[in-house]
Amino acid sequence: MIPRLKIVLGIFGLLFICIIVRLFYWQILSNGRLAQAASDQYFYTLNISPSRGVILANDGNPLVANKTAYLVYAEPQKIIQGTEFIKKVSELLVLDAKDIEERISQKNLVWVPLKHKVDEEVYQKLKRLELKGLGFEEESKRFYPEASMGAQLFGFVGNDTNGQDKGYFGLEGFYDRALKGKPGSLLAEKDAHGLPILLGDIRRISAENGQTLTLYLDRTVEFILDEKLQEGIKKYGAKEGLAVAMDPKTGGILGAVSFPSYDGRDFSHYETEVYKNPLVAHTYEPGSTFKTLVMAAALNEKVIDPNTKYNEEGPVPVGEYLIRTWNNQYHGEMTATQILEKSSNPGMVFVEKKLGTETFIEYIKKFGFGQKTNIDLEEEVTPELRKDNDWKEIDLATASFGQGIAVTPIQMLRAVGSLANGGDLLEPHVVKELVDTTGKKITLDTKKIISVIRPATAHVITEMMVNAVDNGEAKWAKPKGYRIAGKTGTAQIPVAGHYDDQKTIASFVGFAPADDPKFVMLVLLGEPTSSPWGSETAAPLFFSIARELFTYYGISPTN
Amino acid sequence: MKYLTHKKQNDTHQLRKLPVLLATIALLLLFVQVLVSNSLATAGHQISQIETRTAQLSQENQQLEEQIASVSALLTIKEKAATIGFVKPVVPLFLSSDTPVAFERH
Repeated sequence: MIPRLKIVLGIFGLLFICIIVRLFYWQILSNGRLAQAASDQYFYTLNISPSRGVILANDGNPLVANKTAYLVYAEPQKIIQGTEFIKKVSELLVLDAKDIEERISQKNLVWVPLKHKVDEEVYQKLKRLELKGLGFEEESKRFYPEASMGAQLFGFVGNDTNGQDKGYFGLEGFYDRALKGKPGSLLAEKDAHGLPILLGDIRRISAENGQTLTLYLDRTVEFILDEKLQEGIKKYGAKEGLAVAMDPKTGGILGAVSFPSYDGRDFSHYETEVYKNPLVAHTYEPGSTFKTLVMAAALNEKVIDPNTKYNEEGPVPVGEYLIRTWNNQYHGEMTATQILEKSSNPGMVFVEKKLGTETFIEYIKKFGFGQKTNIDLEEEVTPELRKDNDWKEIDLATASFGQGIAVTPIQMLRAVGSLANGGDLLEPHVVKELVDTTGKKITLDTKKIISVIRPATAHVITEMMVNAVDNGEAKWAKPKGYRIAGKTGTAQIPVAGHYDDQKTIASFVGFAPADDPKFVMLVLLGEPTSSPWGSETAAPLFFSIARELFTYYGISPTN
Repeated sequence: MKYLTHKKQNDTHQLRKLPVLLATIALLLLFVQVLVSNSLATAGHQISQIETRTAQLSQENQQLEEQIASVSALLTIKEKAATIGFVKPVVPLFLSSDTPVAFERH
C-alpha cells in the first residue's frame, strides 16, 4: 500500500514540477512575447507622423509645402501571378524588373517595401490594377509650387540612416529640427472587429507638426533674379552665375539664385557639387568691388576725403612687384572720387598706405571678413584671413584692390549693405519668423553686429559710388534717371599658385535708390566668354535686374 | 396598545415591499446598462467612421491647398498671362508730381 501511495505521490510531484516549468516558460521566459501578443489582440497602436513645416514667401504663398505620396510595398506570400506582378509594377514604378523579382522571391518575408514617395497619379494607376500582394501606405512628400526656383536656398529632404525624413542643406538643413516636428502615437483598446472601445483604455500622444517658416524672400524678386540670371549667363556665355538681393535695413534676403543648380523634386539625379549654395559656400576674390570698402575705411578714419589728390603717373612699385591699372593706362592727377571712378589700382595702394597696416586689417575684420555671417543656411563657410603678422607689403597692396583675399558672396553683400544703411553691419537672415501649430510666433529681429563706419562717411562713400556708376565704364547700361551706388569688379581666378590668364569672375555690387536703398544686390558671373570684364557683363546684368525691381517696387526716376 | 399593533403591521408590510423595490431598481439598472452598452458598441463604429472621414477631408484639404499653390505659382501665372495677351511693361511711364505747365500759366 505504501509503495503505491508513494508512486501516486511521485506522479503528482512530477506533474507539479512540469506545471511549474511550463509556467516558468510562459510567465518568465516568454513574458515579453506573450504580453505583446495579448496587447496586439486587445490594443491597436498607431504611430502618428508629424507633418513637416512649410516654407512661405513674405506674402504668405508657399514656396515649399507637402503633398500626399505613397509607400508601395509587396506581400510576397499573397502574390499569385508573379510574372504579371513584376512586369506591371516595374513599368509603373520605373524600377528594374530583376530587382523586384529578387525582393518578392523571399517568401519568408511578410512585407517588402518597393518604392517610397510615389505620386498620386502612379498610385491611382497601380491601385486600379488590383494586384494581389501589392499594398500602399500614405506618406508625405515635399512639394515645390515654383518648381526648381530657389532650390539651393531651400535645400532638400532626404533620408537619414534610419530611413526617416531629414533636411539637408539650405533652410531644410538649418531648420531641420524646427521643420520636422515631433511624432505622436495612439494606443487604443479595440473590440473583436478591431473598432475602438469608447470607454476602453486610450492613450494618445498628439503629434506636433513642424513649424512654419516665413521668409524675407519676395517671390517676385526671386522670380526676376532667376529669369534675368539665366538670360545673363546665356548672353555672356558664363559658366556659372549668382544674383542675390538683400534689404540693407534689416539684413533680410529678398531673393537669391545661382546656377548651375538642381531641382529639389529630383535632387538625387544631380551631381552633389550643386547641392551647396554658392552664396555661402563659394569663395572668390572680390576684385575691384572691394575698393569701396577700403575707400570707406579711409574716409571714416579721415585720412582722405573725396577731393584728396593723387598723381597716377605709372605703375607703382611694391617690393619686387609693379602695381598697374587694369588697362595699363594712367590718368595723372586725380581725386579720391576719381580713383573709384577709374578703378585705379595704384590709387588704392595710395589709399591703403594712408590707412596704415593695422587700421587696414582692423577694418577688414570690422566689415565681417574672416568670420561667418551666421546667416541661417546650413553650409556657410568662411575663408580664413592671414594672421595679423603675416601680412606683407604686397599682400596689403593687392588686398586694397580685392586681390589675394578670399570672401564669400554673402560676406561681400553684407559689407556693402553696411555702406547702404548708414554704417551698420547686420546679421543676414532668410527667415523672418517661425510659427508653431498653436500660432505662437518667434520673430527673428534685425541683429546689428557692429557700427563699422559713421553715417556721414556712409553718405560720402555712397556719393562716390553713385559717381563711379554715372561716370564709370558701365554708365551706358545704367537705367536713366535713377541714382544707383555701385562698383564693378573683375577678379582673376587663382589656379595652382598663379592666376589664370583667361578666366575671370565678373561682378557688380551696389544698392538703389542710393538715397533710401530698397535693396543691395550682388551679381557674379563665373568665366564669362563674351567679355572678361565686369563692366561689360555683370554690370549690365545688374542694371537689367535693377530696372525690373524699380518697376516692381514702383520706384520712379528722380531726375 | 392598538397604536403599537398597527405600527408593527405597517413595518412588516414595508419590509415585504423592499425586495420588490430593490429588484425593480436592479432590473432598471440592468436595462440601462444594456442600453448604454448597446450605444457604446455602435459608437466605436461611429468613431471609426468619423476618423476615416476626418482623414479623407484632411487629404482633400491638402490636395486643394496643393492645387491653389500650383495655380498661384508665378510660373503658372506667367504662362497664363502670356496666353491671354499680357506683355511685360518695357518702358514704364512715370508721371511727375510737379504742377502741370497749363496750370502754371493761370
